[in-house]
Amino acid sequence: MSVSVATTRTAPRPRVNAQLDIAKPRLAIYMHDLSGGGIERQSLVIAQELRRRGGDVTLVLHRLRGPLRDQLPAGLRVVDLESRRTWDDVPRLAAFLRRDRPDILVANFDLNNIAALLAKAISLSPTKVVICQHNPLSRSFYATERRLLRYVGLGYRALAPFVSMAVGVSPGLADELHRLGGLPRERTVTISNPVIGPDFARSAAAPIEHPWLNDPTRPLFVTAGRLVAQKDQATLLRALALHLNHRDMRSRLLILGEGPLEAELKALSKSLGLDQSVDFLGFRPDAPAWFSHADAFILCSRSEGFGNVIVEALGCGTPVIASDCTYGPRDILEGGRFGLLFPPGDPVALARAMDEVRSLHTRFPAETLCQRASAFTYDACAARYVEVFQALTPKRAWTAPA
Amino acid sequence: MNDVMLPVEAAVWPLGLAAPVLSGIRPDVVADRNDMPRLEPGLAPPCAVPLWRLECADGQPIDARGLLARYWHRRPYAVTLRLACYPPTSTVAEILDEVTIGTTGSWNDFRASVDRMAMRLVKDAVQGGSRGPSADAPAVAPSGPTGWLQRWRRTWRDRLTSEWWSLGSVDAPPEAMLSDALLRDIRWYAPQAGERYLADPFPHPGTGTILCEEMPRIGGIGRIVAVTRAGDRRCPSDLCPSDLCPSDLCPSDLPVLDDGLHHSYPCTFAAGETVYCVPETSIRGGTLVHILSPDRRLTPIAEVAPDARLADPTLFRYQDKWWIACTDLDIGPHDNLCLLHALSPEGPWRRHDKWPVKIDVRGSRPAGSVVMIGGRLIRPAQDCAEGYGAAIALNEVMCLTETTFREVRIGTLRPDPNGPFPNGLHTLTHDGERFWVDGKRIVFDLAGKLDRKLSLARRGRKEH
Repeated sequence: MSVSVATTRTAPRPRVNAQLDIAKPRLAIYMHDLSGGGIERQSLVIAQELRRRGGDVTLVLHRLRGPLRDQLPAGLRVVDLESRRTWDDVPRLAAFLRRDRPDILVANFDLNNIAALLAKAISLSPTKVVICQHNPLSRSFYATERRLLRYVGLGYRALAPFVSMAVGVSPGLADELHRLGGLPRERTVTISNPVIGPDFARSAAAPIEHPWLNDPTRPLFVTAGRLVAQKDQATLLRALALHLNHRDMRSRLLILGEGPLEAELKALSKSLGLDQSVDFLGFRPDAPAWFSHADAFILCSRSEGFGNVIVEALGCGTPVIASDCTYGPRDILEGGRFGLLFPPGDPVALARAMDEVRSLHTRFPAETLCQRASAFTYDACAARYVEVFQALTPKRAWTAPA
Repeated sequence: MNDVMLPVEAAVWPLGLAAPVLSGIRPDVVADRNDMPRLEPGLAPPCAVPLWRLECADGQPIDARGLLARYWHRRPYAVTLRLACYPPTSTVAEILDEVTIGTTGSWNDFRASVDRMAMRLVKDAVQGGSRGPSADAPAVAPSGPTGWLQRWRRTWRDRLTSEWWSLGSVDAPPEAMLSDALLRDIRWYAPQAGERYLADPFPHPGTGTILCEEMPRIGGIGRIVAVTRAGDRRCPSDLCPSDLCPSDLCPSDLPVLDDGLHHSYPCTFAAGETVYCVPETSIRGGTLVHILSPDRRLTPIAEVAPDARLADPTLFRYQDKWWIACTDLDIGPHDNLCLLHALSPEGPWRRHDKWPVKIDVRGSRPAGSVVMIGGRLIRPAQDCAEGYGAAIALNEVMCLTETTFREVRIGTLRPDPNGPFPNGLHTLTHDGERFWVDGKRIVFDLAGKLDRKLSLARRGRKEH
């Protein structure tokens, strides 16, 4: 792999062929690191898609670390700020902006967005900053996360003049950027996460083995996500117990994911008498293949910024039952048109939704669900980003995807 | 119907629609002329002013080149149209209204129905009567061979064949309606095509008989008759005409309603000792609520909608109010649901605040009794996307008041492709012991069609 990694101490990139290069859009994507989370994964996808459209993309990282290092696209220029704390990024990022002068800096994640705006402020660079909001700014989210996140909205308000465009990954988040972040409506836009890639169909059809698959007499539910409080798998287990009491369906549940609550959830499953109905499978990279075999996919989160797994389940043509948390699932499922919604943390309502499992495939035909998922393809998402970038830098020329 | 005059300033849509600048429409919202919502071809979001746009579910404007041709006569034989409102500078739309219409029929008919529906969306929005986004998913993208090929095939099928309908029953409790195995063992009563067929079965509570429409296979008009299952002790088997008796379904001695007009869909509803019946009538204002006596005499007690032509009026009760669900034939033959309500069956019957409450060819036109099952109000409706009475959509009514209505599709009953009636299912009712349905089969009938054409030609009329 030919990944060129630069640090802030490396020499500036020589300006060669400046006249020929003048119309090529130059972008920098700034994010925390390359840990295996959804935001990092999507940023890499977007970087690659923008390169395919003629963008000269540089990836700027708070730290070059994480399992996604192996998935860095070949030829992608990477700048490692080598910072210890996010605030340390500010002067280093400012130096990068002064030196490299990209047309656009795309920042991801709450605190990194603030750091990017501060860097823009002190660098006096002409670079336009686009911030991407993946998590809610409202109390409903930061109640379960770091206390510092509650000041992100305030930070956006203070630094609003430096925001050229703010991207919310769902309409609700875009609205929050306006209401809580104080950004003008015309400078907020909704661009959904890229979830469905060109190899999605292949990964959904990948062979998997489990004794519970392909048993039409027993409905099979699947859920996926880190085993943490935010994902609230405990409510799902309680709902399954109620569902098994309601109906003589003998449904079963597969849980994909790992996390600190694994032991606790296994104990809860045992105490509810679900030993024979629940299987903890741990982290599975081939999650879509598991979704394809399910009668329904369930997401039980207390809060979500988007909900990539919902899109993946839709892409497999699998009906979705999701918690109606403030953003994400409601937007993806369009208020219940493409899946069932239930109030977060309500096992009774979830059990009632699970009771419908037999009719979900006729109510939500696979063809309809796949069509909905097609709104979240890499291509559709990158096209939206290019639209935004073109409006910000009209003199730069993008090309059709290579 | 109150048509509004839209102040038209702008160009003309390619579809023949007036493309108005909607000046003065929302005085509470608009402050100056730049804030007025605009509806003009060629404008696309983001726009400096509020933009109303008629588009398909995928966001393409309906006047986009070749768009309608891609949908016409192709699977899923339905297209979702919406009126979207884009706030200034935004590319995220609020859906003001959404409808799903059929794409079969001639090309000109299809374009006309798109035009008509587009005008309705705008008119309802101007009058504040928009329905908002549909509770059901939009129709999927078109697929399959070209529409011309499918149109040609269907045209010839219609020239050479006719429909044969018959009644069937399934012994199951009402709760089985939500089971996917409901229609596995239907007992069909007249599988062989004859001169007259039966359809639209509704029970006559307390008598063991079924009221239904009796219709000549070709031409003619329908009338309401009563039938009894053969073997039932009330069956007057000595009165059975030979062509119906082999069906195990015996007709009563006299028709229930035969007054020279076309009648069908004799919807019944029992309230205590009283049985009400609201049959469909072909003429404008002909829909009447009757009391049905045990000896099958109909006594009209109320006029429902004197100025409308209503199809498949379905009487039911919900939260101390009487309701009639129906399809307004002036809006469309198969794609809309309208509601009327009254404090008693005697009326007066008032229209729902939204008229119609729903436009969706996949599940609007009523298809049998509205029933309460386990606290859920279930409304069968016809899925006419693939053709008249092609399947039955089961809708759960989530919200029903004089001003609001919302229902979601919870299931679909499709005809058994290997059964004797593989081409349609049209009505679903329950008589306390069993479900009743009617099924459709397409039968080759060249002689009948020719005979019909000759007889019309002799009378100097055209067939419609």
